[in-house]
Amino acid sequence: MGVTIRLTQMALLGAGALLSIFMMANAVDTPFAIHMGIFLIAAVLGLIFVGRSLVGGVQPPSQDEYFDTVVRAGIIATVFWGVIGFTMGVYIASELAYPWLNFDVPWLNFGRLRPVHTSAVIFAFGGNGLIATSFYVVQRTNRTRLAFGNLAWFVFWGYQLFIVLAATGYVMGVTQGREYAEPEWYVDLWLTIVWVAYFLVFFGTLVKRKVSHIYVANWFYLSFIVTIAMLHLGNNMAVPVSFFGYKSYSLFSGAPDAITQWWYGHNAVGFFLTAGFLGMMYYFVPKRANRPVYSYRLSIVHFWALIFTYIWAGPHHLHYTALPDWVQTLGMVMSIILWMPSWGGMINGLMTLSGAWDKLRTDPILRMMVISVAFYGMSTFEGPMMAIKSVNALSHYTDWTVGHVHSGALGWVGMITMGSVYYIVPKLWNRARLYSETLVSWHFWLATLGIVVYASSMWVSGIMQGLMWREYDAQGFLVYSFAETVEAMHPYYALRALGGAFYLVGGLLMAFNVWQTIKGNIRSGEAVAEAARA
Amino acid sequence: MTYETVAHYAGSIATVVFGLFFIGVLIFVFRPGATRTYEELAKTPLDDDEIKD
Repeated sequence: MGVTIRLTQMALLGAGALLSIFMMANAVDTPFAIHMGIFLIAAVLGLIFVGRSLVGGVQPPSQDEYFDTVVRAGIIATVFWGVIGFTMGVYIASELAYPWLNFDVPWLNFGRLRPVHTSAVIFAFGGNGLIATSFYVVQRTNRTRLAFGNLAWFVFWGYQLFIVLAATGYVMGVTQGREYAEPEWYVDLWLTIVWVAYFLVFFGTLVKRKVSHIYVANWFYLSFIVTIAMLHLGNNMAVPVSFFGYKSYSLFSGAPDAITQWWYGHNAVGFFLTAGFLGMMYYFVPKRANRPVYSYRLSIVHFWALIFTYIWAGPHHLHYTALPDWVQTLGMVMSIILWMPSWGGMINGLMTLSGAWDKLRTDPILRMMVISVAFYGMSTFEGPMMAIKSVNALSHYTDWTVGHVHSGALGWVGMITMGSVYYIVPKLWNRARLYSETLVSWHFWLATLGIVVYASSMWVSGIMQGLMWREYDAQGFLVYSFAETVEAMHPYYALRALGGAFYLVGGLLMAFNVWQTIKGNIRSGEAVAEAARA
Repeated sequence: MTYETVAHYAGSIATVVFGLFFIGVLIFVFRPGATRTYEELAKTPLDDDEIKD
């Protein structure tokens, strides 16, 4: 049976390779030809890999063991893309402060590198973290092995291919210009295939579970998978100019197109960056604290309240635009209501530590998870406030928004992911402990300091920017030109890059720590010091 | 019936249905006698290092 499956896989990969060659040969533009070349390389690598396992005659894996090799790969990818994404962030932040870093070449232009940064941190770092931990959590909380055999490997490699296609495309100027959904139509189609496979693996595992109740973390993960599929299909309805070229045009136009983009954009925040990572929180915080979830009832109410409300919040990105006024008001009201489920979740996460608060003194990993939940609470307070129209009149289009996004992304998403990585690595590689918990402590403080510097400089810069834009003199003339606001923001831009650099150094420490842990090393002196303390 | 009326009623009905569903969830979750069940479920992540249950 295994042979039939592998031959079918090879036939599919071969057909993919031939299709890539055909598309490449007929390409009407260079970036499309390059991308079809990347598809071809991926298909050929897949053929070699499957062919070798066919010749080698691999034993079917035992159904009594968790499928963790793909989780290991996913965690390595998370750390790798994290460092890349943070580096890109520091670079483009520096470009804003020191524009000569553009080097007057199109490929390093801020406009092209900015989506490389956002996609690298959200989809490559966060996405790999979500896929890997969801595979880990769904197996453990359902006491069963992942469904559909090696389909999980297809999800992993297919997703990496998506990341490579997206990033190389941006650098070449291939973009649909839709926030957090910049990849063009053929890359979107590829992601759809990968995502359906991801859904099948996750849902199939739930179906063959050996416990009666589906633990709440899986609900959050599943809502993330299903909603992202829906958003991706809705937002990327586009017509390619040619089937052999990259360029496509959206099916919508004007205000409907704008609200479609922010229906997608804000729910990418709500279901990718929130629901998915809440799944992570509901598993790894209890696990690390060794305490049950504070209130399981609250977790269920939290889940339904969050998913019913989030889907409406998108219009707050389009206050004072051509969007109908009632839609703007609806978005504002729903954003404020959203405060309640968000804080319900935050309280549930934090209070899971009741009876274990003392661990914060000694355990830097738990400290990292707790500060991530604290940042979640802070940014989900700031967000509804900024969604209020009169506040938004000042904050919109300024750096305040950028600061808000980063306190959520660096604080909540980054810290919960990195805390989970530190927890999961010794488990996955059967190590007694991490290489160094002192380095985790360094990472924690560097990252926290970095976020504080980043967010506070953006508050000052953003509010100043907003106030300068709206300043009128006695005759009703604007007081400041645009260039004057840019000049005034320079010191804060330099500070922001510094804050990002702190965060990046923390990320590099993590990469080193994870690498040493995988090798099985323990930093000299640490185990002894811990034994003495205990 | 025009598109507008259908859309109007569909929106109102959906709001009511989702609202009732949510209230139903609240009633179900806070049903008396479930406290022990939920206390057990809250411990789900704590003991799962091997597949056998």
